[in-house]
Amino acid sequence: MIKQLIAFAMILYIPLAIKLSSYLLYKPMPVIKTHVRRADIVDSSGVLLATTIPTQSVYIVPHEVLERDKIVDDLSAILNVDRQKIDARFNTKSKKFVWILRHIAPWQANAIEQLNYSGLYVAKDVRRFYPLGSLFVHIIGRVDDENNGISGIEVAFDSFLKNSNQPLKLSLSVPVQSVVKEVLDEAKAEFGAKAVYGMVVCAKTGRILASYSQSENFDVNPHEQAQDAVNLNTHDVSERGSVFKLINAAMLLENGIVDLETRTVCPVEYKVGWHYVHDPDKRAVECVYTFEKGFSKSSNVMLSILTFRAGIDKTVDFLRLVGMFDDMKIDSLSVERGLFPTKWTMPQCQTSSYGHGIATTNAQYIRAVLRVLTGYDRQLHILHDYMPSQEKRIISESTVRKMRYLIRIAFLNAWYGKQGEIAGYDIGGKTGTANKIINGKYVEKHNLCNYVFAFPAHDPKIIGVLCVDEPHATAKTHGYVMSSFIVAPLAVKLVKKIGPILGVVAKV
Amino acid sequence: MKYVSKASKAFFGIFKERNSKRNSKKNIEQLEVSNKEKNVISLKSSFFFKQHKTDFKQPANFRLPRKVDRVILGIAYTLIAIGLVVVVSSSYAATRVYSLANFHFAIKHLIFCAVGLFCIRFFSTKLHWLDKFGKILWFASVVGLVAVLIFGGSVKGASRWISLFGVSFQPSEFAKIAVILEGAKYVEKNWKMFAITYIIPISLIILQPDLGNTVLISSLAIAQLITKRFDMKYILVGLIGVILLITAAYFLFDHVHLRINTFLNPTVDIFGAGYQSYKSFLAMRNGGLFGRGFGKGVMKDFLPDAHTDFVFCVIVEEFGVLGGLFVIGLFFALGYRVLKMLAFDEYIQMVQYSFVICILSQAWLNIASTLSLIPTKGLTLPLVSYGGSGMIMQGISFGILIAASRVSSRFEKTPVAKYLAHGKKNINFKLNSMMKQKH
Repeated sequence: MIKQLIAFAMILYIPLAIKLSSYLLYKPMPVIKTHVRRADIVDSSGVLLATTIPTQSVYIVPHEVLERDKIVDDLSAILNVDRQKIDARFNTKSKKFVWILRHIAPWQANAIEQLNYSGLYVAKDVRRFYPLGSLFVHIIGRVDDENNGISGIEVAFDSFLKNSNQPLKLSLSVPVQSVVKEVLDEAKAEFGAKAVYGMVVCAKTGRILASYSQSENFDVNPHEQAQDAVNLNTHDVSERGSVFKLINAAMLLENGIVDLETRTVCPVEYKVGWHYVHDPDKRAVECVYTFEKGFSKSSNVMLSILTFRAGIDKTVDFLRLVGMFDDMKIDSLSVERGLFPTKWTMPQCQTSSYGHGIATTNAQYIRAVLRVLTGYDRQLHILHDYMPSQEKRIISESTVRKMRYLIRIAFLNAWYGKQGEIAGYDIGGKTGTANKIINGKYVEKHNLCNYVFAFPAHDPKIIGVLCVDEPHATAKTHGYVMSSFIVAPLAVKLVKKIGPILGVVAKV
Repeated sequence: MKYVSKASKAFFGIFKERNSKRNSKKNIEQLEVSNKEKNVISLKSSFFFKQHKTDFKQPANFRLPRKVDRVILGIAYTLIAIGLVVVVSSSYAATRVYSLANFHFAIKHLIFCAVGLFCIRFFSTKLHWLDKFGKILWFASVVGLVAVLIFGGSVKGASRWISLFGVSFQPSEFAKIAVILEGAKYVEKNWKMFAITYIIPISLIILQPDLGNTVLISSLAIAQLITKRFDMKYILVGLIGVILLITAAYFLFDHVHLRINTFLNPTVDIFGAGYQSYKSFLAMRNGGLFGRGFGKGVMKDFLPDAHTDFVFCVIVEEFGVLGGLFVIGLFFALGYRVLKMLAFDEYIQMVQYSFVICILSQAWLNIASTLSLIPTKGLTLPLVSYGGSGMIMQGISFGILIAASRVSSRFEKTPVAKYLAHGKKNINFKLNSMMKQKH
């Protein structure tokens, strides 16, 4: 009996040993919501644009902390952060989990792990990294702290990126984008512009090769420094100016109202509604323009007269045909909707012929140009391997051919065309300068200067639009704030650089 | 006075015995001739707990009993050494709280350790007057307990200490030894005396109040009763019944559910009742397998009495789970060793097992409360925690256990055991009835 009792007393010690040993196994790790899996984003040739890298982050479980002062001292020494900032993070009794600092260096993580304080932990974390910095930030967008997409491609293809093992291959091209950035940034500095942006699109497929938007040169990778970068190509809705003549001319040709040789008597001023319309060259006498000549001289009066002849229905129908009124999406990347009259009247149709009274985004405009210059209802694509759809011819072959001829003539007749003609590339283009509306009124010298170009003009392979917002006049522009002096030379410079990169074979 | 003179004679006579043993040659015949003298040799000649070579001729199958059991002694030494280290480390915080010199508690504990060692040495030879010692101690402790109720100073809501000539005593610690020694005497023979032996000290301790020692002394009484009066079957049935009742209550009543959960999982109510135990849990978990190192623990900063009640927590934090398991293993080994070395005399057997139950249950209650398995009690870890009365009491307990190991039943069939049985007149305790029948 004695033996049994002592044995029983000894047996009672076994639970103690088990309980004590179980302390070794206890290691609370809070659930971190960060999506560890997020696929890379690459450009058309496989250059890495965005990737996920493993990092480490330090956090505390406040109610487990025993030596607060020691932890704060050691952390401020290791992390090189102000002592008071770290101490403030501890003042949250109600929370079970508080980040101290995210994405710390490996040597810092090792040092903190070796401290072995109760309640202080280092967690495996992940972070989105953009190797090319701010080059693509406007179109690719960014992610939040939990690795969820919050803007651009990151949010448009969020579910794909979270679930896919393959990288997301975009149609963008790093060299083309770099050239566009270089050219536009130079212009921005030269003319003191408010913003610059532009797009370059493959005319044969609708793939976007470059989409650059004005930006400061900030580093996107530390999340704290990254500002909100708006993609002006898809989100800046504004009047485009005379570049809309391209669409209107196509309407007039398609409907058989004019031909290239049709002559129109153009007065000095022409009354549209309550306003008088002038031509940009500000001539003092009435003259007769052929359609070809009027287009290349960008005559507002001629287009207003001819649109009056075409009528409301044909104008509006054609605008609908080239997708001006659509809710546009570029492979699930959202694009802002344009502004246009709900009920069209004749003066509105006439002003819209030279780009007043109708506002669109750059993306929507370039899609319309793409349709006009190819004749198909082609869509823009941002994915390299997009789902091809059945394309329908919407504009006749002859109209398309005439439009290609018109932009080539418009380029060659202009001063920049005569100076900047590049043998073999056959650039065609159209300028457009829109007065900006400030407080409900059109204001001179606050202009949005556009230039749409396509090359080779006889069979466009590349179409692009460059925009410079509110540039200032310089001696080089002879005091004018006009597209032909500011943006058109940029386009020539751009084509000279991207032509060889894209392998557009020059005609000899 | 008679007992005092006898004790001092016995204590100081050892030196004489050792010297005489070295010089003179003795054999088994001489031993048998002078029974009284030889009995003293066999029981008392081990001041340094070292086995001395005997010069006399040994007949076939003759073995001397081991003078003391080195395993029990080693356990006692190890526990005292651990206690010294941990108290030095953990009492530093307490000195700051009471604004004392840095090593105030450490130096005092060093003195207590010396006293404890002396007690072990002293009582390891005093097997023959245990019954009389028990009687004196019982009366003394009852007087002390009454005095505590009248004169005792109050510490943390309970008056447990009495100051005598500048030295504080805790009579309830000595009452434990007294009831073991007295209770073992009466458990089989005299119901009334057994009841009186236990009920008076227990009721006095309840008045203090000291819940830990009440539970401990009551459990000792129950254990002694179980050994002699009841069958193991009933105990097993009772245990199973209690477990079933607790299980049923756990699932039926919400407050029981919550309370048991709090004990099992200290993280449930971390800002309320479980705050201290949760912090001690964190500190222990932070120690890991090998601990944070001597003096690097933080538990002492949270609990000012870390060097007394929560000393096990400091051990685990500074020396790791391995250190904690080592201490648990020491108590486990103590139980195992005493089980192996039970005496062949009934009274000694009862004393031996009561002491081992007392030590084991006190250690268990302390460790279990530290590990949040039971609510916190005011019990110390034997020989490890800081405290003078506790150290003396545990020294006496270990001393008696060591003394009892010398008449282990392992040597039952050896000639020395037979010889001891014959020399009945010279030893004060009763011998095993089985042995009597044989001769």
